Amino acid sequence: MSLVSFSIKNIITRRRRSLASLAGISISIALFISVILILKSAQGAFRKPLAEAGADMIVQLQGEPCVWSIVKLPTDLNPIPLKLVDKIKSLDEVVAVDGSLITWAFPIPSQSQIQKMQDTVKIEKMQVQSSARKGMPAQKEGADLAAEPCDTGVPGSFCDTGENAATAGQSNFSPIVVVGVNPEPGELGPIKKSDLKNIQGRYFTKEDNYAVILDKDFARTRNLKLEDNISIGKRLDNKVIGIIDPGYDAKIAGAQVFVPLKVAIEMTGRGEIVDIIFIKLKGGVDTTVVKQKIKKALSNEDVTITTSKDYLSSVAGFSFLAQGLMLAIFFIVILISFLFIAKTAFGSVLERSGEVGILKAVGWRNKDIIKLIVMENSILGLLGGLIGCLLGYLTSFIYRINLPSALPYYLNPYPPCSQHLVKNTLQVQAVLPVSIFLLTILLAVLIQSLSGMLAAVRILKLVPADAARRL
Amino acid sequence: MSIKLENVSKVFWAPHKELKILENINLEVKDKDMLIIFGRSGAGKSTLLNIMGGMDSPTSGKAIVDGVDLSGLKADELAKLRKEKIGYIFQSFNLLGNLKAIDNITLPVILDEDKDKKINEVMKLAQEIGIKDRLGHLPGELSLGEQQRVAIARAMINSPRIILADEPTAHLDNENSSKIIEIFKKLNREQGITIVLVTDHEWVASNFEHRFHLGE
Repeated sequence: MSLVSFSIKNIITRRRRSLASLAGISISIALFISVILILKSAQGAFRKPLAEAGADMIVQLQGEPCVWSIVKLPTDLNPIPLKLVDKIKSLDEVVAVDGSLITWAFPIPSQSQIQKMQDTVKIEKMQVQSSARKGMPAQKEGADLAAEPCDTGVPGSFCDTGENAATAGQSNFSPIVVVGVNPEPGELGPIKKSDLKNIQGRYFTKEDNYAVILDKDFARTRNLKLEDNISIGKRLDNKVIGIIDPGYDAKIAGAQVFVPLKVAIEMTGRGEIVDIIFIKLKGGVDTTVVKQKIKKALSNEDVTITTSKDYLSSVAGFSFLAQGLMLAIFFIVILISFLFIAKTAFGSVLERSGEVGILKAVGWRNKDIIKLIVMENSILGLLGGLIGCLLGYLTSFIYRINLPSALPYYLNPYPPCSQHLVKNTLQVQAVLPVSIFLLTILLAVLIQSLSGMLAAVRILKLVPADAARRL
Repeated sequence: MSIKLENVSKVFWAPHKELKILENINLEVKDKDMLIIFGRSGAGKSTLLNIMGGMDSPTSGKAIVDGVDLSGLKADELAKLRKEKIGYIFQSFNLLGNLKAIDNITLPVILDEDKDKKINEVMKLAQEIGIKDRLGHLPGELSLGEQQRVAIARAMINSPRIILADEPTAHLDNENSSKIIEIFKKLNREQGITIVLVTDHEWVASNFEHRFHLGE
């Protein structure tokens, strides 16, 4: 019988003590793994929207709510001239840039609806004709960023489910979220190259004008199929060329209908504009510096820049204080977990002083006894670590929850009255990195065997006669 | 192999007092001799045996085994001595309860390269002393007499030249005691093993020619 097989035999034959040790190690490791998984999952979930858009930075301009029109920018999002996309692209720290135009397209209202909206929303001048909005908005003095004064609209005030909506032939007088995207998909934006595999039908070509790609749920709700026509704004014959499955999680600039960017620009009628810019940065660049450069390029200090780095705190409402507290709890859990393992191992070996005395009496050398105890504790640490990782992993599924409304409205601007299922939740996913798994097992083995060794060294200081008497 | 104790004293320190267990003990056990250490309970017989086997150290004096002063040996050298030259039998057998009889017997040689040869040898002894059929059992499943014979086999696995047995018949009835005594006598007679037995039973002591009365 070798030392290893004798160790295994000892573990098996001392079933009660071994199970107690394994339970101690497993519970500690499970606790440790659970906390790691929760932290990592939350981080991963909150970072997912930016990662899925392929972006390190999102640039938007928020301001006064824009005036109502058939196709308008959502809520208080303000236009950014398209030419500034190229300006950002020229920055040294930037790898790629892509701009999209998020819009709300309303059904054409009846006169009674217009009257009601005029009464309730105090719109000074209802401009149903999009022609009134053609051309670039007036330039602000000294600013490169163009924006028309938008002081007459009230976002979210157009949800009318009453008589007027019925007159308009809509179950709800709410807008469709239409996003204008690059007809040549890259690695950035609401629809990337990698997303094309989720499209039934096809993506846009440069030649497509009034072609649309629908969100799968939207198509189902409206009972629309490929080759059908859909009315958007004033145009009735937008042909459905694709239906995309956007997946479960909330997406930045997620839409019900995607159109080529040039079509969205035309429908909005406010010139060559976008209202969301996706930026991919070079690795390791200082985002604070890039932010300043972008603000300078846009000549606007109030521009909203969302980075993956500060997403947790600035967007997800997860403050630095909360992060700090989480980290503090994390370290306390680590400390308690590993102290518990050490105490269990130490106590378990100390109980064996009688047995150690016998081994010494029959001629085992101190180093052989230490080898035996280290071997036994290493095996227990390995098994306990594995069971603990598994338990922790399973336990973490309890925390596999949806985090509601994780995306702020300006990143996923669905109208509050939208009947369409808004994918505005983030799923916390339990993913245990292999490196953490291996490190945890290693730590469990090391702490268990080291504690066992320290206890053994203490017992070995006893003379064999004294130790043997304790059996 | 001889054992010699020169002016051996042993003192234990209890709270607020000093307990002199042994005082200036001089004793010699010659090679192939068989000695009974006899005395009342608490006289220090087990302590004396522990000192002889390098399981404990005297407070003063010398324990010399086969010409080697044990006080000059390090822990690992003492372990080697106990393994190769001394077989120790405890009063309460001190078998490991989680291991079968066979595993208890082979415990001293588990890490040895020539363990197979040693195990084969001890199997003959197991046959002789009537425990061969009981080797697959845990100590708790054996009678006291069988447990003591397992302890004897464990002490014999390294073919020691000295056997130190601490009250080997203390927990046995007369019939089993007689059998155990006979085993020791046979080992001494046939294999020339030096044997030191400790007992507080006069009738056990009366079975042996050489006696050392401790506490007289």
